[in-house]
Amino acid sequence: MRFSFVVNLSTSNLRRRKLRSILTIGGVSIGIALVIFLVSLGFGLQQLIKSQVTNAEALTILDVSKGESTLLKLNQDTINEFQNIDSVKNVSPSLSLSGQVARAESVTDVAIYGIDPKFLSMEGVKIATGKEFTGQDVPEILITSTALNLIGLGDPNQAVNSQLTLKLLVPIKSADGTSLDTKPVEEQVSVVGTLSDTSDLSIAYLPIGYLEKLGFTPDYNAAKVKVDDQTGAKDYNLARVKVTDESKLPEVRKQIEAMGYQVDSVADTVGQIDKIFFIFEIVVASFGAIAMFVAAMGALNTLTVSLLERTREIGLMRSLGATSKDIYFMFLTESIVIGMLGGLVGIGIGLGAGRIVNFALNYLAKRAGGEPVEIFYSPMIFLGAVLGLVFIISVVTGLYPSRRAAKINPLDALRYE
Amino acid sequence: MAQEMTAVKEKTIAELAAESASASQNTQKAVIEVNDVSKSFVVGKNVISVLKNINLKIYPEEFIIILGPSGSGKSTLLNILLGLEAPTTGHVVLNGTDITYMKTDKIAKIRYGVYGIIFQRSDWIRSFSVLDNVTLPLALNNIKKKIRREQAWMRLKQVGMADHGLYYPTELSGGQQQKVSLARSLINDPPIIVADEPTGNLDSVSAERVMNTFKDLNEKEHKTVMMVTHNIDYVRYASRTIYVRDGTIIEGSEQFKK
Repeated sequence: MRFSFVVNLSTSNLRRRKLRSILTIGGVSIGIALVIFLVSLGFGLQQLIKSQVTNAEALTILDVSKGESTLLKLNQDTINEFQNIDSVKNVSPSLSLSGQVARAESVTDVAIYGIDPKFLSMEGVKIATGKEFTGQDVPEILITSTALNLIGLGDPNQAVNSQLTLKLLVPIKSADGTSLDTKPVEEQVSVVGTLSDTSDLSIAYLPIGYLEKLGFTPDYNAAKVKVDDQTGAKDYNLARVKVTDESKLPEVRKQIEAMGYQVDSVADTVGQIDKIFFIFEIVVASFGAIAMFVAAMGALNTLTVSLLERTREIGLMRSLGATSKDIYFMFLTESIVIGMLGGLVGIGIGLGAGRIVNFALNYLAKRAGGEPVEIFYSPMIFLGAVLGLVFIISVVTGLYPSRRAAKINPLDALRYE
Repeated sequence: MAQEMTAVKEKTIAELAAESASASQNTQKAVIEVNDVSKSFVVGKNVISVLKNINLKIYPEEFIIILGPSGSGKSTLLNILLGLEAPTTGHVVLNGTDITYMKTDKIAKIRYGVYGIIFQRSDWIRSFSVLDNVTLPLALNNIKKKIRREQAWMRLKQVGMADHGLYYPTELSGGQQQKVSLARSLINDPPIIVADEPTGNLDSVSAERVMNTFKDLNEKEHKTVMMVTHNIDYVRYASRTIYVRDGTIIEGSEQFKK
């Protein structure tokens, strides 16, 4: 039998028993829609939380530090070594120190990060107002709104381009290179931008070249901001390594850890989130699977009843030249047609319901002054996997009636009343 | 005197016809050979013998009527000839091939190439139109849709049902259904038409029309026609009549005519 004929035969049978077909396909659709709706909700929430924790770029970044080691170096040579590892895209060194910013009489403590302006995005910095640094060693600062509030610059727009006094303790190199002396330095810096601040922290970013210019000189071991060591190479306390692809992260991490460095990544946190949501998605999918199981039983029942109703048709076809294999595939196709139609309709309903709920929530959120969010997310691979699963379930459901139909003796079938 | 003359004349003609038929058949190869076929069924502890040592040869272009009362075993014989049922003992040879113990799927393919079948009760794929039902034997054997449809329209026209191609079979009368059934049996252009009580559910006028169509097929298209009935009136259409009673062919019952 030609495949097109088998499909035509199966669909014509479904058309003939419209109500029964609609109920059976509807049952499968509801099961699938439930799976799509619930799991998409899981995916959506997962995405939403991840986007709050980090951005997509941060997932490709490793924070490399020396940890507790006093022997390891983190200098330009090391950075070049990291750069030479396969799949590493960029390496950005950074310094971290504490200092103060002041405006008129107001002073506040801030955590200061010296970064390479080229790799600003690697720091996960989101500029709320203003712009990025204009040069490699310019006296410019990017600062959180929390810190600005503390020095009386509540309006971020007003803060941009204003001048702040930066107060730092700059290390002084002694003759033997081991002294811990410092001297206070006050410098005027210009606010180029303010940062989105979700955690109410006083943080400021400055170009690393500018800090070096200020005198963060070599041999400042105790402050862990040693810029130069005795060999003359700069020593950083943190390097950010960006890989080309999220999937390459574990491999690069392994290599850097093998070199003795401590490696941290936002991906660790994200990994925890993923684990929790994986369990959540399994649980909600199980609810959908129960509905799907009931629907599959309904489809099995429909096929069995259809088989009994069409016993004489089977006898007729066998007498006219159909083989038992033809009859087997005919019923199997019918099962697959029911399943796939139910699957496609179910995916449509599931996605549609998600959209409607999302729209309703955003409407309410907007009225309450909140930001619109997407709490449903259905990756194509997930939809494809669901269709694949529906196909398998359809085949399994169709096996019993198909085998039974194929085994029917043609003459007995023709005599069947 | 005149009556005697007529009787003698008729006898002579019948004998001559029989001799002529026998002579012509002996020179031809039988399309179906039934050798020592017996069929029995076990019902509880009883064994019911339905056919007993049947021997039969059917030649090309014959119009055979298998006659007998209900329960005589004629339908069972037909089913065995069609390969729908295996005999308990004996052999059935179709076009030189012994189909007796072949697998059902293989017989199904042989059946498609040799037989056009008409059952007493017309069976249909109820979700298909008349046209699609007529195409069924071709569809089951991988023939392209365009060819299937062309053939089906042609056969529907032949049986006078072209106007009903887009109806559903269950919308037709018994006689019309039997005509469509006939069109379906002809679509694969089989050399042998087998009909199991095709007029059983028809009124006399419809039945006559069906019989005339069989006659035309036999005479004009040179089809071998084999028909089971218990209506003795149809014997006049046959070139040979076989009388079955209690599972055996009555000796000397075979009547030939030309």
